Amino acid sequence: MRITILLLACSSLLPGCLVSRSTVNEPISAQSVARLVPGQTTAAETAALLGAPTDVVQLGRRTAWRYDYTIEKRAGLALIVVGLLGTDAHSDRVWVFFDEDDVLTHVGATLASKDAEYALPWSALHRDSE
Amino acid sequence: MKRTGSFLAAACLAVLLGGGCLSVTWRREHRFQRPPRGSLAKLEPGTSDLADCLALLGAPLFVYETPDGFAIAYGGLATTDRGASATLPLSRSVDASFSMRDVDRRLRGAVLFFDEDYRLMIVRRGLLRRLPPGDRRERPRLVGDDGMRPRQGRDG
Repeated sequence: MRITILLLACSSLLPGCLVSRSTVNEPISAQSVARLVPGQTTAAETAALLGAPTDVVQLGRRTAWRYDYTIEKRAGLALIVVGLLGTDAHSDRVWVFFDEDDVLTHVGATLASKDAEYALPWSALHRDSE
Repeated sequence: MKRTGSFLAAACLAVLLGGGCLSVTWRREHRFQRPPRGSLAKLEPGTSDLADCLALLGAPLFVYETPDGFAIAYGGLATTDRGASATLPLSRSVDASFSMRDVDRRLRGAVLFFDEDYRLMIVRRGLLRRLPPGDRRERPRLVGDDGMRPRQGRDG
């Protein structure tokens, strides 16, 4: 009986750990993005390079397409009544702007999905932002 | 008597803990990245254009159409919640879904407004949900099935 109680007490004190990683959409190739040339690349060529966009925004007679790939990493610890959870999500994003003739005018790219970290709440995340 | 009281206290504590009624939480959430510190000061409304902004800040999170042109939004979320709670589970519900809309509402950053010639006009900082909606252009849309239909062209 004592051994059973001891085992139950020990098992209840053992911490529960959580590590998870989830992604949204497909990764964006930096090489493909580098092949986009404002003033030359057309919407059809962009679709052939990057595939279907996640979103299309109408800007008057012009359009902007969004591509994104997001990684979310979570690390957690549960000890009976104490719950600790850290979530860090970053994404690769590309916005391409087309004129009235569906020719690329501007490209904006941020490839930051690799910055996502498994971090508990007290872990340092070195970020310097507005 | 004293032993019975201790037993009851231990039993109550066990019930509370076992039912998940008491909890202490420490949560931190980081999503995306706000514009780097000092970067927005390098942009000059009236002079900088879309290419300058994209080169400096990268891809925005959102792009909106506005009455005078369009706007792009940069933002991120950095929150830390520490708390303790005691609940009485009279009913139980579980929601495991992730709502991007909820996250969007908490993003803080900047919205940059451009005219139709891609020239930067205004920079606003703050919660993204408070910045652009009033300035969005309403696009024409079909009326629903409530008896009203788009007007057809007249014959003759």
